[in-house]
Amino acid sequence: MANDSGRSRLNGPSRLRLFGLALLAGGLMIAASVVNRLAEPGPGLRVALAILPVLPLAALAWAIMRAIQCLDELQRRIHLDAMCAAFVSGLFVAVIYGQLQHARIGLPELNWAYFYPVQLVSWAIGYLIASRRYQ
Amino acid sequence: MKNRLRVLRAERNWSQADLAQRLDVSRQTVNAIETGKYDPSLPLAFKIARLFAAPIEQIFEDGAESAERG
Repeated sequence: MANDSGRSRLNGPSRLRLFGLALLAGGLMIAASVVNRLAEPGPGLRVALAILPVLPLAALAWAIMRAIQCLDELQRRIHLDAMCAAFVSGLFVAVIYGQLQHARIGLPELNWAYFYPVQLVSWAIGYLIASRRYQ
Repeated sequence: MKNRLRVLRAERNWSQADLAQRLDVSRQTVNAIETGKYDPSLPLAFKIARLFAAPIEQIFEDGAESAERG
């Protein structure tokens, strides 16, 4: 039996590039946070460290856009459904958490950087759910 | 929307992956069209029609239309 068609799914190098960029961005974020906390550098270096993950994140955004453009129409629809689900669930989480913080029940202040993994995980879950609908 | 894609494919002894490759789509897309879970866009429907050298209406059947006939 022939292999799965290449257009619809991300091929090996694309998947590796996406995974590598996401890993690099995440790693740089963690490293920058650790250095900022432990080494207590000057304000200039703190800012430089804080925006260090921007470059791999921009490359990751570009790679994701390219990967989406290579998908076929059904895969694009699945990803659109997944992104809508991720957007809506992220909106719910953000609004509910914000409201609960306003209610002063002792919830900790969360860093905006947490929004990125929450959206990615929501997208992945949304993709699995949307994908099952067409199997 | 019903369609005869599975029959036409079987007549040519093509697997879903073979057809997917010829249409430049995923095997999942071919499967979703065959099982009626996904209706292809007009350009893809024309591509399918060209591949099987048949008019679109001989491959795809509107459910409402067949109900009217029945």
